[in-house]
Amino acid sequence: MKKIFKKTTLPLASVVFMSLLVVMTVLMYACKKPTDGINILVDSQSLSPAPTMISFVNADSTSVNQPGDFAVSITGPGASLVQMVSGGTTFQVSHGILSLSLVKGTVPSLTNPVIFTVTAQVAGFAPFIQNVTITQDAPSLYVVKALDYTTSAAGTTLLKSSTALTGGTVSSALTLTTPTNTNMTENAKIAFTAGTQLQDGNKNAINAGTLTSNIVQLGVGNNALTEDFPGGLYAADALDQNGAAISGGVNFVPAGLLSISMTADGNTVKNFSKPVNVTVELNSNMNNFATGTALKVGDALPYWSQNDVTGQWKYEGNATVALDGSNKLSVVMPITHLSNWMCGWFWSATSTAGATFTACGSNLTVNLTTADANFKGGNYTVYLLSAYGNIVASKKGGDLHNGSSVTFKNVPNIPGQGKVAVYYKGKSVAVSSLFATCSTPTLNITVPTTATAFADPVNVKLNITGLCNGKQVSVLPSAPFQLYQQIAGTQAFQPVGVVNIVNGVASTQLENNAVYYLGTYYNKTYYQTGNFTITKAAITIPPLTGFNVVTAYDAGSNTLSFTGTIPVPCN
Amino acid sequence: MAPNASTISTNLPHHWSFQLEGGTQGVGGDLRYGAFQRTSFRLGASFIPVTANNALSLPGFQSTNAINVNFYNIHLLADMVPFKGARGIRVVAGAAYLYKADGGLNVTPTGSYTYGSTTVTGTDIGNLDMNVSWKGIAPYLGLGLFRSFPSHLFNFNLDLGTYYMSQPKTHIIGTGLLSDNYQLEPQFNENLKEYRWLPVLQLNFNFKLK
Repeated sequence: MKKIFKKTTLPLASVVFMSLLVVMTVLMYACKKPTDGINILVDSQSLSPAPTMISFVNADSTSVNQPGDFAVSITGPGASLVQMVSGGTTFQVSHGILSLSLVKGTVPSLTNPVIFTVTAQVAGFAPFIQNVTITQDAPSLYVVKALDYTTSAAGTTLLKSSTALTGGTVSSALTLTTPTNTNMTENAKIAFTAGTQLQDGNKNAINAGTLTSNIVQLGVGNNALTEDFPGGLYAADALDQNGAAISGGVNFVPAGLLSISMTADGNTVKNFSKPVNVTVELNSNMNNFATGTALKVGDALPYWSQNDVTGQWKYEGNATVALDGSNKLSVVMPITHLSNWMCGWFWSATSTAGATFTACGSNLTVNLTTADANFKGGNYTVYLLSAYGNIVASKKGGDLHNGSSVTFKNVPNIPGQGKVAVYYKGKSVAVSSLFATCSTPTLNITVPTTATAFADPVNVKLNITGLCNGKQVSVLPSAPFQLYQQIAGTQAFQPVGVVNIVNGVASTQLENNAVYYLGTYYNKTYYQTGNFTITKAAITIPPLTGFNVVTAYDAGSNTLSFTGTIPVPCN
Repeated sequence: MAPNASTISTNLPHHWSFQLEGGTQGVGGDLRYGAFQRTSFRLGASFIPVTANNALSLPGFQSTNAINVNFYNIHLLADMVPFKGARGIRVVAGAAYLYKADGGLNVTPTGSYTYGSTTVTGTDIGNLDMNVSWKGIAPYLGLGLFRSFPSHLFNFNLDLGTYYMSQPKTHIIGTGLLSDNYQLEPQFNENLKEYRWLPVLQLNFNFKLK
């Protein structure tokens, strides 16, 4: 038995055993490593709450001169709670895009809003000012209409002038008059008396030989006064005539505005030794917001100045409506400093001298329903109007979709009633019936399909991943991406909305056969896709700035899926 | 010393034995019955709970990780002697029901990361659990070395073989900033789809009952 065991059993067992081991070894080596291709995904949404895109575009949509790359300042009570959407407080605009968010852990609300102001000085444009009020952790979009010193947008007029000085002094009486045009039938006159000394921000005399003036006047045409109003119609940190803060801020109902920029031999002019009378003509079709009747001689009109560095408005006093030399309704504002001056009514959350009326102390939420429940479009604006059509307040929304909503805080106690109008793509698409502003907490408005629908829509889904070079980690970005569409018949593109990427994912709807591109400024880098034409098939998008996208089309759901990667630094 | 070489029994039928076993599939016990001249059956159970810390690395992601493996099975095996003259060699076939067969990788971030001016710590980032399950019926094929039954009270023998488990199912659960890692499940499934072989190298201690 022992002999058999050794000569027969053991060798056979050994052969089988070795064979088994070889097979098992081969099988194990055939397997992939469990972590092959596994990149840990890191969400970013909670690190950047309330993503806010501020898009700087030329107020003249046909202009090729667009704001590009520049630094901005963030001021105001909530400034310390603001960061770039990818972190950091070096506030930089790239390709006209500023992507902001609140810092981690900030929870904005209606009762505890985050309020700040974005300002910038860019050569060739009037100062950029945008007031931002964030009341919820949701994406938002602000479009700053840049007033160009080379061309005037519809509803505005531009005066560029050069005047000889004597030692920085206007030697003889000088009147600068803005031109009129078909969309801007009112002019403005800036009248210097002889001997007016130009001064800098510290009221030091400027010794210069030439005064260079860039003056942009905004009128009611093309809604320029409300659409292009520097900073927005709500001023949270406005000051009264004594320089004290007006509790709750004010809301403007403007009648005319001048953005005045002057330099003397390159030195910025901020003050004058003598008052300079600024006469602003008013549109005769305008209603007096306070009375609801046609504007007439003798009406009182408050006027305000704005600090273009901080964006802060200050109530300067009341002017009286009179007829000017051209027999047009006008007001005269005696000014001693620059740069933005505005005449118009205002209302306030609290009783303030000069305010047309006060607020109810309640909020109004406007809920939007799109007749096409699947519709997802670009940004929209909701206006709160007086019964006689003055714009009392406005709220800019993000992407218009079924379920969009905006909330007006401290709605005004309008004598009579108010109404709400929804604007999309620059047109009024829905208007509410009149309602009592103080007893209406919510309004439900349906936006009709005809106002929103694409002729041939394609659903678009996006999945964007930020790749950390050399690491098994990927960041799922949360940032607004600006969507640009080619203007039909031209090579030019214009921003048409924002796609809010949340943890790498977003969905929207685009027009079949239209040409688009996406861009954003994230992690100190500008990312842009190549131009792409929407089709009902997979498309090839040329990579640009490291933003690589591949697509796939699902005919059943009419969905074009974009899967993109961007390189991101990961520390 | 050759195992029990001098006390070989030639008759399998109607023998009963109990074996304690230990090996790559864990520890357990079997009740063995000699049904025919050259065939016996085993019914038993075994289990293996294993924990290993920091066995894997994820480059660029500072973390600790713990791997937990639990294989609990009930098995029914047939031992067949193919060569009459070589009773020390058995072909073993059968199946097990893996009523608990899972592996879990728990990843806990340890580093701090800079997000702009914000420092994000491991606590903020969250945890990641990557779980794999092979639960189900797994056929077994192997080779038994040395005799099934002791002639007297005790012997030992070896099992060499493998279970072929069902294709693993993965489930990834993340918390905090890692919540979206469920998206990795398809890749994790792909990586593990060939991990179906559970090799068995097992030493059995047999105690004759009858």
